[in-house]
Amino acid sequence: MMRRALLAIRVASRNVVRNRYRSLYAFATISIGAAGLLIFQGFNHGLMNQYRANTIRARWGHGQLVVASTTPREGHTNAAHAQPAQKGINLSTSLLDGLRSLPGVAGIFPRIPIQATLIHGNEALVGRGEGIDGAAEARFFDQLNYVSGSDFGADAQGVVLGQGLASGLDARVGDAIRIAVQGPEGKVRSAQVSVRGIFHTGSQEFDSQAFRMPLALTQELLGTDRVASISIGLSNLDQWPNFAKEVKLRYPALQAVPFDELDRVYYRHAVDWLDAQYAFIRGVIVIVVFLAIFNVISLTVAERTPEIGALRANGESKGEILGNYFLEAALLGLIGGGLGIVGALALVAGPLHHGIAMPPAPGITRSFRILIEPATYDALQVVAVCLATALTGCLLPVWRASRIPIAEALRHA
Amino acid sequence: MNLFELQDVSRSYGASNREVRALNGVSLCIPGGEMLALAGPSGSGKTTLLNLLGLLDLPQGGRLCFEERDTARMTERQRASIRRCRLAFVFQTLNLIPVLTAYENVEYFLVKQGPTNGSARKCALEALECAGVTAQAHCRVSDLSGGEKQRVAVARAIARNVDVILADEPTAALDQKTAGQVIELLRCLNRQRGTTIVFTSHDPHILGHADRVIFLRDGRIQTQ
Repeated sequence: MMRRALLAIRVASRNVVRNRYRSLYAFATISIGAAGLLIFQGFNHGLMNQYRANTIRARWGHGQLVVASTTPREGHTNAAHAQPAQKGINLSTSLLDGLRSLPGVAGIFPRIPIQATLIHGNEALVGRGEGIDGAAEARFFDQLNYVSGSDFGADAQGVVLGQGLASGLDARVGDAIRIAVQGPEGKVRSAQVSVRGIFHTGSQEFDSQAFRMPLALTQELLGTDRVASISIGLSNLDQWPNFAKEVKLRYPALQAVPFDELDRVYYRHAVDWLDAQYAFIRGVIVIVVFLAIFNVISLTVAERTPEIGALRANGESKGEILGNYFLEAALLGLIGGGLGIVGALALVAGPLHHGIAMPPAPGITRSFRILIEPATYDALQVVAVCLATALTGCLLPVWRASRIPIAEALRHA
Repeated sequence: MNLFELQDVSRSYGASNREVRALNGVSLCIPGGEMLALAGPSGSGKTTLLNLLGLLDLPQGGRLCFEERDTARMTERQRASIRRCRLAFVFQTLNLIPVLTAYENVEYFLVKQGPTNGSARKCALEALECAGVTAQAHCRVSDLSGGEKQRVAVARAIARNVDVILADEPTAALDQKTAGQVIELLRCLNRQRGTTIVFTSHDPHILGHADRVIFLRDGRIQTQ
């Protein structure tokens, strides 16, 4: 059996390179297709990795802790989300210390939203802000774009404003503004703060309302010790599942929500969009490879019809003839795919080593450089696609060849 | 017992309005161990008859039996099995696998037939030696001369140790000396092993080696 298999492989491999120019054409088509697929998939990975890093470092962290929902239907936008001052997370030192001790945690960032009136001179605008730990967040979130000034850091009376909001208030860095909010007892509470920075996120709507201010001051204005969420920064994203598991175990009242769930609209949709794009391009490449294989095998079958007749005359069955051609097609697909992968890796290690400069992605304001990051899984997938396409491409010509009567096949000589 | 028995066999080609009767009412018996030659002008039906004997084709009329079994009632698998184990073909051209060496061409069908590794190699080398092409054993057949190719084809038939060798113009492309050597080889096989040989030829010298010569004309047997 083994000897038969080796013999079949030997014959198939020699037949594959029997006509050098045709073989070259087939291998070139398959390998260019394979290289294109792998590079495109690597580009997608690089793009998503970069985009993910930007998303994490701009706003969300690797995820957030919120008050656990009582029913799965609520998701993470439950009653505590709507009334954080009353039903949010009770922020205690033991909770913060406990979270810091969990494996992989690089930073914890409690936050509470605040809706307030911001007053500067004669201008007053309603803004939607967030109370944050400025010093801690400045160390982790490095992707916020400041058009002037910078973060407020440890300044207990500092504030940063969205570009549209600052423009509406006619406020500049260094200006003093007053933030007024209706407290729990119905009275208006206010505090004077100093503008430390003006930022933009790329979303005009968001920037025309957004501001950030110190957490302690926000809690004081809202008359609460609670927070709506605690954003989590990890050493790397791979640690999220373990972290979430630990949180579930130790803090059943809390729910760990990953960043891609929080940023579903942008991140998740971007991933889906790119995946759909990849599927389309893969489809085009598969069709090209399919036609190349179909062409090569059709020519081969036409050329070798008398040989097929002679083989069948000597007892080779239709199945064995089919098997021989399938083996040839498989070799074409595997070798072509393999060459394509080697070529793609050479390109990635050489001319594409420093990646490709890209304009800002949706929701991100900075341009960035995409590294081509092909994964082992992608390479295997590409080889599988080449193999499957090669086998499919040879089906029709080989099926036709197997149906030619022997005597007729011999007459082709 | 007759190895082949043909009763009123006919075979046509082409559409009904332009039908060509390649064989027309041929009746014939071929006993085992005979060396039979088929002669006749081009288009007389020699190759068609050879194809029918080789179970490559089926008669449209009449009956063709191999060892008293009607070939038309056999399945394609059964016919393939007979072709593989009992019959061997030597064609004028294109009967070898060009990407393999002479030795590999002989070994190929032996391995397919199923002998063990050692015996396949031994059989192949012995057959090549018998056919006088040992020196060319490891040359690709595409690099061999016409005579050498034909001898390799015969070596393949020798190695397979089949009951019947069907040879379609086995010497047509060869010079007289080489043609004589090839037909001698077949004769030798017929005498030593009792292999039934059926071959076609136009050459009177070659036909002279046969036990019996059948002349065909317009698809009918003219003389035996």
